Amino acid sequence: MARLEDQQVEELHDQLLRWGIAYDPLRDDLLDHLCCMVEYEMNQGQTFSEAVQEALVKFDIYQIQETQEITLHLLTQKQRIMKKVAAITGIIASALAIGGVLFKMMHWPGAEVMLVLGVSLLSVVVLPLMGLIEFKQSNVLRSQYTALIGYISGATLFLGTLFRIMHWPGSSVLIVSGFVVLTFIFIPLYTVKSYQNTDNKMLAIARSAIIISAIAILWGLFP
Amino acid sequence: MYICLMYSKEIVKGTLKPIVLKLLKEHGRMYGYEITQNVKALTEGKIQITEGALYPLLHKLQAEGVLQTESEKMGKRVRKYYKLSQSGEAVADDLISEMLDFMQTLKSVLNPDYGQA
Repeated sequence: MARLEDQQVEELHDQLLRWGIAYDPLRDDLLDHLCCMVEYEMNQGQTFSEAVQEALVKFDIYQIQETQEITLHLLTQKQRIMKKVAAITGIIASALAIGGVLFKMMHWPGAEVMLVLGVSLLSVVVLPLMGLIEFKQSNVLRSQYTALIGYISGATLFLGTLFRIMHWPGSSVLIVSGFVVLTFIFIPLYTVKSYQNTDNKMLAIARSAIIISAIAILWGLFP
Repeated sequence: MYICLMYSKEIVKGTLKPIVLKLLKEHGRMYGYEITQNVKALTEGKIQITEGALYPLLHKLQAEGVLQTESEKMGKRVRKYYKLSQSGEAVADDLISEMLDFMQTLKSVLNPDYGQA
């Protein structure tokens, strides 16, 4: 049984890269598949380069690229739907919330219904969904949790503000817990992340400082 | 998608999933090339699955939780074995029996003795 040398495997790997197979899990599969095909031909008595020629005839580039497209399309289908739902609901909910505030200021009827609907949609559907999308998009565990915590504490603050406007009980608990999570968990995680990922360290620190000052000002508003 | 030496595309379409699930049910775990070779041998070359049809399906089934993978390093390459997950067993059973039932139904329609399965 022929078994390809490491260097020959690398040659085939480079070929797949040249063809634009960038999605790692698929490239692993295709590389092993291609190696098996070449080894099969070599077992029939061909040299490595003859075997590669033979295998590549059966393994044509268009089909491979199509394979990657189909695979990625199938895998991201759910995410695309999630993004669409988040975007559409986000726009509708924001419009309702902004409309609600405007109606309330003008003492027009229907303000409260719009506010409750808009802000509940934002905090219960849109923000958690956006957090989930970012969670799935990242491969790094810490940025996954940073995104999720950020969106969820944001959603809690939204909900708390709604409760405060509607004079419902429990608004202080929601607002304080949202602020605490945002200040003591999200901000440190976010600061470390942006500090590590940016070239301009000063800017990263300044950005976090501005967010902290904004939170401090808001904190002052909601005793 | 398929390279079919015997059957037209329209007929074979939709049979890949039950074929792959049945193979994995019988063999436990298999890698992609092994699956294509097995199908070729079992069907005496009448059905040949191409990588263009197989890998998108395997990755989709993995994303759905029907399949799990085990990777083994072989020098510079990684061999990925696919196997049914616990919930995948039920999916495989359902689909295989659905397909068998469908074939029976089809037989009763297409049989020369029309109407008698």
